[in-house]
Amino acid sequence: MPNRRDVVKTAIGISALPLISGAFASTAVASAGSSLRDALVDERSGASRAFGRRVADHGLTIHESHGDWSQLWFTHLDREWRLRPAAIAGLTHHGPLFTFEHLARSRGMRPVFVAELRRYRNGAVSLRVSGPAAAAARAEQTIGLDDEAWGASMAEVLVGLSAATGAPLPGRAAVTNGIEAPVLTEHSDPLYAWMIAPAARAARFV
Amino acid sequence: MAILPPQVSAEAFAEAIRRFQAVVGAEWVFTVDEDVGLYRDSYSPAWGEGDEKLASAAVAPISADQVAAIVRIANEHRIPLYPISTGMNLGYGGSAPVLSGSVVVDLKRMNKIIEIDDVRGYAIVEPGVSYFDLYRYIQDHGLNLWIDTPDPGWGSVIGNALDHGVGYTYGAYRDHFYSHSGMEVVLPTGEIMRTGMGALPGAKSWGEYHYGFGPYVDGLFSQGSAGIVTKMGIHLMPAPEAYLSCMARVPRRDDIIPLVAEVNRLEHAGLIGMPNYGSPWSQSRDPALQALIGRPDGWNAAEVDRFVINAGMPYWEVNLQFYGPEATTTANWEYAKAKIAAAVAGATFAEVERLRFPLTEEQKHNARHRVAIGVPNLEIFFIGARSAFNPTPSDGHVWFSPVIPKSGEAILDFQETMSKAVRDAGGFPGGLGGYGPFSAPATWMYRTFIMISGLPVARNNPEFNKRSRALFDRLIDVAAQKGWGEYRTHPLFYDKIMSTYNFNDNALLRFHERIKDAIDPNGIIAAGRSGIWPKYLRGSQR
Repeated sequence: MPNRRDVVKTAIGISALPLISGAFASTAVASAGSSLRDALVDERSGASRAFGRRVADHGLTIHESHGDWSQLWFTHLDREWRLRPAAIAGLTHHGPLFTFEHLARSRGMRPVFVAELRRYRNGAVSLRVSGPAAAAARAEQTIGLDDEAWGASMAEVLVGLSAATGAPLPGRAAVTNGIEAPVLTEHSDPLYAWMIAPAARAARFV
Repeated sequence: MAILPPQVSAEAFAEAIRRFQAVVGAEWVFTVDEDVGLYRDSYSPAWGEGDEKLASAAVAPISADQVAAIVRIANEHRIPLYPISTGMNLGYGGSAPVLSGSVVVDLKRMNKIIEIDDVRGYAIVEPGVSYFDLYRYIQDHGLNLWIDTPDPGWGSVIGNALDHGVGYTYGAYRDHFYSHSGMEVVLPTGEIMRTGMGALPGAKSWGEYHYGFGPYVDGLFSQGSAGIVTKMGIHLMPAPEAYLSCMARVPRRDDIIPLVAEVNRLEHAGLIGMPNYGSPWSQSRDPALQALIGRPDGWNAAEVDRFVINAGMPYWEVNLQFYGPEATTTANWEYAKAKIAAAVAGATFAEVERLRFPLTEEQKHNARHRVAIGVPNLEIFFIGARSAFNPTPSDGHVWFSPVIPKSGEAILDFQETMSKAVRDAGGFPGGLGGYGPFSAPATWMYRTFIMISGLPVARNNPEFNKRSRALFDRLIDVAAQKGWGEYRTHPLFYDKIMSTYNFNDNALLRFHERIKDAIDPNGIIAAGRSGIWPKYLRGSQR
């Protein structure tokens, strides 16, 4: 039997909800606690590979792909989340984050941390973060790092978040490296470091 | 509460909500913004603007009886309802209502597979059953069945059929409304009705025989607003022993005409599954070719054809799919090769993939086109990343989906007509996409082609969305002038597209409105769906 949140249909992409709307931080901040076991790594991205190496050091199970985790979801996560929703993290492009946000929502989970990194051709970098205040503040400090270092740093932020307990204060950040970004399209595909976890409010209805 | 249904007071709305809660339980009625906001259309081309369609609340029943009770309450309080199954038809409106202020009736909790038979080849399901759910049930129970699934497997079997959605195998299965068989529907009065053989108490063939007895009414509930479908039968395909995927290629632009003619014969004779047309040039970044296509006064078909011939690569290709015993798939492929070779000089052929079933999960994952072998997945959403061919990925899209004749002549006519239309309108928003000399048809519909294109949406850029919407409007007009109409669309374009189906002074729309007025006088079910508005809103909403 699905819980109350199971039927609240996802209809908001992550790019709007966590980073722009206040709804994300005010309601979805959860205690990921020690439930984070799985992490998604996009083999095509140096930042994601570095992220994977670091979270593996912390004992997480890495699921590598060239961008499509359909099989993982169908054969593993869907069955597991039906029994017991569990936090999941990743460093990916937007598509997997969007998809897992939708899939996880029907199991009573929401994004609890999202950091979006855009690199522009002229050297400008922008970073937008939503999540618990302490984690957002840590993430904010990574604006000057190269891709691999950024991936490793995001791993530490997310693992630290998963180890936290209680319902932390929400926070957000939006920083640049000081170079003005050119037109919107002149950047590489943004990277997202993210965690989706059981939402605190939903727990009352499980 | 930010939004109320039109012409409903806050007091009446609050009373209706209280009564909904009494029916389904307070925990299944969603009224706070953080919950109701989740029903927004994530691909809305009006995101954050005044004409974005927004729900006032949502209610999640678990049975047809609960749906009926909700409908009766809504009638008493004149509350507009908007039913969704899983609400995943992104690009066509998602889970947002057509009329702002409607209460979404979320049917996701109604997720039972009522009946399934792998000898007679059907299932009867509730609206919350997704393609993944049905597929998993078949796999877990070792049934000798395949599903026909659209690209994203998270959609509802019923919802997709009702929206005239499609899949990827044989014609008899991939038109999902065609392959449905009988419904259970909660009518706007709250009465529960069954159609087809389902109307016969104790019927033994609900999932098999479409029509039952008397006038066939099921179409009123597809893309319609005549009731809320709570059960449906659906035909399922027998699991084949083998699958063979092959490619035929032809050298010249006009070769598409005899190629389509031959492939039509193969398909209509039942020898192949869904053919997939394309061009090896469609994603070419060759600068010389780009210069030809991008000429300010438009591309010239003869010049493009000459370029392709000189390059020595085929202009068109079609992927042919064969299902069945291995011997018949091979024999049918040999026959297809002979027919196409006789019809098109210079045609070449290649075998692409040969599979024998059952497959391991790894083999399924590595199959070239999983939906062609009935395996639901989410690749289309996972793989949305920036690439050489998609350098400016957007925050979504709205599908422009015109139906054209199933002929090569129609493809060529469409390419030239719509390329000019896009050019005259100032180009495609974002600079890429639209139509050109290599645009190929989607072949989901058994007897027609769909020349689909996704107009991009940008959440943070209303001006960009305005351009997309203006171009969409223009394309509807140009297509209609050529006799091409859309099979499905985003709610923002319902009225416009319905207005193109205007034979004899909009006789069809007027007929729909008479039905609507007769069976739903308070206009509570899916107001505005497909441009059919209840009487009390006709002046203000259209």
